Amino acid sequence: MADELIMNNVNILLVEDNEGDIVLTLEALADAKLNNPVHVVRDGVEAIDHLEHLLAHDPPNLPDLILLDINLPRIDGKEVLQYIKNHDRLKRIPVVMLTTSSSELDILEAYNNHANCFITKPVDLNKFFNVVKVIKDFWITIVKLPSKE
Amino acid sequence: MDFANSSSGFCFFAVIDLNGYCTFANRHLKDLFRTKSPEGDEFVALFKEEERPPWQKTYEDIVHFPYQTARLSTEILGEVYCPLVEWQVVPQLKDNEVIGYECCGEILEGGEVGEKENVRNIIEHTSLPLFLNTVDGKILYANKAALELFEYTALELTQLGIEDVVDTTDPRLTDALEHKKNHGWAKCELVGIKKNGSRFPCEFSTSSFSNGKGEINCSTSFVDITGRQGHEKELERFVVETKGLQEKAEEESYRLKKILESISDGFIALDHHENIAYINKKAEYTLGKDHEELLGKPAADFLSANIMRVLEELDDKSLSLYKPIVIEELVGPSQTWLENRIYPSPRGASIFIKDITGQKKFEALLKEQHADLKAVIENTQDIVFSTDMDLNLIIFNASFRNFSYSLCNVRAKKGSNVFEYYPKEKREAFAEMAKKALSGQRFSSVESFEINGDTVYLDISVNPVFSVKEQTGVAVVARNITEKKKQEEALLKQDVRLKILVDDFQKIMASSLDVICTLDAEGKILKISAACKDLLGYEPEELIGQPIDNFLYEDDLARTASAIEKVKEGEVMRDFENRYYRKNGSLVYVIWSSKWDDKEEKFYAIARDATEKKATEMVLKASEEKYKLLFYENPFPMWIYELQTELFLEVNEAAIHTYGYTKEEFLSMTIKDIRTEDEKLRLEKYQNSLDDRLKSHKGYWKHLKKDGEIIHVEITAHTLQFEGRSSKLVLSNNRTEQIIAEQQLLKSNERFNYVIKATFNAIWDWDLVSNRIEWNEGIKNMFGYDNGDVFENMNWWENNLHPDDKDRVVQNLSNTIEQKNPHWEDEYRFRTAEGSYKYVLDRGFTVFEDGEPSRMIGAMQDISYRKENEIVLKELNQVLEKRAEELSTSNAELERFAYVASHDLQEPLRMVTSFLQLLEKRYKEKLDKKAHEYIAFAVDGADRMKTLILDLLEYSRVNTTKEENEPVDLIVVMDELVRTYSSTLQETQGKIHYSAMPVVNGNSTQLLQLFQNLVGNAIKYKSENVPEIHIDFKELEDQFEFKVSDNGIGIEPRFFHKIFIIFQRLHNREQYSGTGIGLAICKKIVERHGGKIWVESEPGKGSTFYFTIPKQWQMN
Repeated sequence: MADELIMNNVNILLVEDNEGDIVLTLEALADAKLNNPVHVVRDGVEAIDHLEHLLAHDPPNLPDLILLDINLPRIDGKEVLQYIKNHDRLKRIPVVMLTTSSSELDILEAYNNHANCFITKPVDLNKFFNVVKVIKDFWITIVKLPSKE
Repeated sequence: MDFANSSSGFCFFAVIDLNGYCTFANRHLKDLFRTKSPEGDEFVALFKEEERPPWQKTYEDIVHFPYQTARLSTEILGEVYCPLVEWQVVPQLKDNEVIGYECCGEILEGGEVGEKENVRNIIEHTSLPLFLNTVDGKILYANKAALELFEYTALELTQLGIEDVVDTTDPRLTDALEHKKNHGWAKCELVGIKKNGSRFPCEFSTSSFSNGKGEINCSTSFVDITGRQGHEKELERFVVETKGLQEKAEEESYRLKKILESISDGFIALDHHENIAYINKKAEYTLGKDHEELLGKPAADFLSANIMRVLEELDDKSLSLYKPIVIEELVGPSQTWLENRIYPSPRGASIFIKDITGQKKFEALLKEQHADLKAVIENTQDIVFSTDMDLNLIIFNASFRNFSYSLCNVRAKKGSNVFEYYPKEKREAFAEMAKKALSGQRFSSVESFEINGDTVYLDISVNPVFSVKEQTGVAVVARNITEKKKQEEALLKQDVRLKILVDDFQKIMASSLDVICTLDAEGKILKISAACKDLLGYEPEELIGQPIDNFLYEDDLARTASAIEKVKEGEVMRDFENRYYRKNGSLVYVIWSSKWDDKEEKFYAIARDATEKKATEMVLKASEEKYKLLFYENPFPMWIYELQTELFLEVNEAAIHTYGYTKEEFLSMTIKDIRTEDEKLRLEKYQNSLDDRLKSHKGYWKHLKKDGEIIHVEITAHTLQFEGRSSKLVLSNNRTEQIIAEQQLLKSNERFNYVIKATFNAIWDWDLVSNRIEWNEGIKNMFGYDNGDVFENMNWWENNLHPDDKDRVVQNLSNTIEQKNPHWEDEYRFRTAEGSYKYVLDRGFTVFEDGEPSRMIGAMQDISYRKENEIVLKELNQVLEKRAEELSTSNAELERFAYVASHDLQEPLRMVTSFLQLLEKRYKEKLDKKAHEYIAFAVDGADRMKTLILDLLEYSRVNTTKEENEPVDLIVVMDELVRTYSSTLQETQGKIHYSAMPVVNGNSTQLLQLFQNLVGNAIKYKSENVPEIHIDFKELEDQFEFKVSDNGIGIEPRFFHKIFIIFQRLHNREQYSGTGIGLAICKKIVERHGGKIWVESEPGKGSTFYFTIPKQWQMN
């Protein structure tokens, strides 16, 4: 019951341009018994606009966890990460880089910009589902996140 | 402040600032100081020192009591004269603050008045324009100020009358002259006329006086009152206009007041009741009353009866005339002369009061002075006389009387003709002068007269005298200049002598090649002759005044200084040498002679350029050295022996070295001692046959060294006198080696001839002088020419060159000869007798005679076979290079393509797999068995494609990695390898064997992959046996050869070359999974490291993969 309670208060922001990956991620989260609606934005500009909008009008609904792809149209995930981690009020939100890239350079750069973790999407569906479950379990059930105000 | 300058009389005016400095001085004051204006100086500096303290006190008093007027008498220390001046000092005020002082001074007396010259000075230099004139108005004298005012010269003015400088039509003049007739003086305002015709208002005053000899003359003064008149008019206007407006217009009033305050004249304004409406400071002072006592009071109480009478008589007529009425009066106990100018105005009158005491005193002085002037003329040492147009004497002075008496023994009489006073023999010349003088010319000349046997010289100046219209006579002033003349003559004589001396000296100075100079005790150049330009490069002007040591070379300073000291002590310096810097910085040797003159305290010195002498000395010394060197250091043995005794007198080093005797031994030997017995006999014969007259001779001899060796020498002997003895100088040239060499040469020549005959080459000998060429047999054999075809002419050779080679070959050859290169080499085609061409390599060596190429010897070698091979090879290489280039370009493109493709291919593939799996997961129950099977195929296909893509990516990465090569310890790689396969090996119980591994230069990641792929294959293609993998290496000269062998299934030899090709598989997927890229990657990695990979295998027994890694290899 405690799980349910926590989950009700948790907002997740998914930044992903690939419609297939959006479906897969949402399916995986559903599979992991996460019932809260997940807010999806499809490129970097949208992501920043969304966060700016919440900061200005609806701070209580700022995301508690951000799943961020790297290859995004317009502003890519690296820049979105920089924006978040350089923002006084956003930098405390955990950012999980969830991407197909396994490039050493991408990994290094993400951590240098204070990404909270870097995960390469497994090709195998079951593995992918498992990864999403682990993310949900760790970031939402296990860790204690900062309060919003 | 113009009025200050224009104010008449001896009125000095100065403005002083608060610090006591003069900021303004009027002209009169300035005139006292010809050279410097007092402006800008401390004012009290004009006075005697004891007079200064009262001035300082006056300044202070005035600051405290600004409305007080201070009076002081001081003597001005003027340059021209030193008048005693009475000063009034008034403050300059601004807003009731004292900002300075105005000093107005009048002369009490003209310094030491008693002196006549001073009187003259005063008259001459006073700023009051003054004339001395006859009753008729003829001007006798005009002072400087008068000349300046009317702009005439003194002579011009004395030809004129007063009537020429004033407007005679002015009725005021007539009135004034009338007044003068009755009263002896007159004063009025007139219009003056300058030489240029310009007119100006002036104050005219004249008075007549007797000169004490019964003659009546007049003194007349003119004062330019242009400024004053304007000023007075302006003042008047102000008074009139501001009267009654005073209170309303404070400012105007103040301005007026300031002007009134600042003028040097007293000023009183009266209202129409003749009460005092205004009075300025100066007037207060003149009246001796404070303005408070005066303002509003009736003028009659303070002004004289004369003035009051005039005031009463003022009427409308006088008002319209707008002319002042002037009254002069003597007032008060101080006997002050006042000049009152009364101006009527519609509402009253204004009176300007001026103290003219000084002027009056001066006029009186002038009267006395005229008589003095006469006395001056009378008593002057100059001879002065004047005549009328008939040359009859009018005026003459005592000097004239004396001179004419001593000259002609005649007493001068007025009215007598001047000819009478001239000696007869001079009259003719005098007539000429007189004619000139009477024709109006002015001239002067020096004349000599004989008086009592002495020659007297007179400097005579003749001036024609004019009235207004015509010449009236001649005035002559003559000065006795005999003494001066004598002195001059004496001087002239002395001068001429001196001049000759100086001339000679200067000529010597100018023309001497040696530098002649005088220096002062400190060594400064006083005079230096023009030759210094040649010696030091400086003009004399540049050197004069400079210490000569400035130019001295530093190293010579001390030596020169002590030499100079000796000269100063009286020694005469001769041939002293030192060095100086020339203007261009170079050094010059200078040789000096110098003497010190005690009386004049000067050095007289002569310097000469010693460069040449020095150079000659040095050449001499050098040549002596050279000759000594020539003997002692000569590489050839040399000696001198005495003819008579045949004893050695001197030997050189080379002789000692060559013959092995010490010098001492030599000097105790005769020339026979260095000869064998038979040579001794030959020497005797030779000497007997020798012609005594022959100075030198040559010959070949055999000499005996100390060690017994016999040497062949060429002897050159020369007869000479050595230290007084008849001797011979002998040069011995050891020719032993040459003689042996010649013998050897003979032998080798023989050998050479054999070689020429034996060789296949065409050997030639080209005489460059005759242009003939000789060939050996080779030319016939090689090209098939018969003897008859082979010409000795170079043209033949040239004509047989291939046309494409001809120009180049001929040019190269001629360059070789021109540039005197010893060696020539070229490849070309040469025509055979059949007309085909053969490739030849031709080499030639130049033989020089006296440094010039004289012959060339060479050999032609047939290289046709080699050349053809070379050409084929070259073409092949070019094709290969091109292929390689194309290949490397397409390879690079392929790699780039593979890299990009495999990256982008992964993404859709993941989608395919993921959604197939999702389909399976979500619709498990709804799908039948067949559907599951299809999905499994699709997933498997996608899986394999993924592996393929990853392998492809790996393959393409081999060459695209940007990592640098580095030393890689392969032991570390092995450990990693074992770790990677630990689980697999455990499963199969397999083993990897390796011992020591080297360190190679390469990329560690790729090397690990290489071993992984090979070991991976070994495990994958294992036989039924437990896998045993051996990794080994051997070190070759410049590379390591590695060996990975297994006990697997092995490969058939026919597939050996195929296994390294990408995507090439030997088995179907059911047997062995794999993409067929693994070994292709291995090959690529090895090749990237500069090595080779190959395989040896036997099916069923196992395979061995070999590869090499070079030791020194750098990535491109």
